[in-house]
Amino acid sequence: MNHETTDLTPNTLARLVVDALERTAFVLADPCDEPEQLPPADTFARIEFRGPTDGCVELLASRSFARNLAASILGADASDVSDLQSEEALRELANIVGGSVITALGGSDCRFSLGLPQLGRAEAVGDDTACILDAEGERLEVHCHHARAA
Amino acid sequence: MNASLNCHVLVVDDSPILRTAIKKVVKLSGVPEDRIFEAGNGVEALEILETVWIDLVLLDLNMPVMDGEQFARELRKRTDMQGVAVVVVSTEANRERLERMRELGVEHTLRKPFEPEALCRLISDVLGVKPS
Repeated sequence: MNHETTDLTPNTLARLVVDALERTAFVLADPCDEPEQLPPADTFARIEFRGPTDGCVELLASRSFARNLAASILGADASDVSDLQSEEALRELANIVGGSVITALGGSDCRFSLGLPQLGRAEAVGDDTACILDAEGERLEVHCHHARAA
Repeated sequence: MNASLNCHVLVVDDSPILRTAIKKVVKLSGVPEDRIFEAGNGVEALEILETVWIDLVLLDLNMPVMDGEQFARELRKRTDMQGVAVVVVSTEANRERLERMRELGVEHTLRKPFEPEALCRLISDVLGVKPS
């Protein structure tokens, strides 16, 4: 049985995140060539995974991105969304992107398991695959820190 | 979307915002709002099942306190809850864990991220084949 893992490219990571955003919240996003034009990231969430390689998926987002995400998920106006709901939305997005990442890494015989999503920065270890997305004018930066597949 | 479904659905997920979103989709499937219940983990879900008849549980797997697998194991021990259908709605990708869920009688899995229409279809399928 093949237990190898697949390497994750920035393009693949971006595609997974764009898909997660569209399906979960109908939020549109594209890879950004000029990230300095986007608002800074000040809201953070992460989720660890274990398996053939251990790692962590980390989301760095502007506060308005998290607020818009929560509003889209809830079907509410962004002005009615609380900070708690914004953080909760980003944490859930970390969970969903984490699930997509381990599926991409593990394939049909996936041996990876996810932890629970948390708020805050990750401890950066191992290789870093990253993408920066422009989500309707807001910043969403996604990093996957993991040991390289054997 | 559908005519009113005469059934009770329990949404079990540790994310309040996801519970809200899933409840909206369940409502779109035709289940009246007052027949949709929610729990943040397996322990809370079992407490609800002890007091309310539930036809379908939409179950996350990775949760604190009691996770979805522990909940399904506990559910199958309860002779009075054998008729409860369970659908996993989770980011879980681990093949062995999903196989263990199937061994516990959980036939359907919907991976996050999902389109609302996919959940609507699954709810209709599962409840449609359920004996009245």
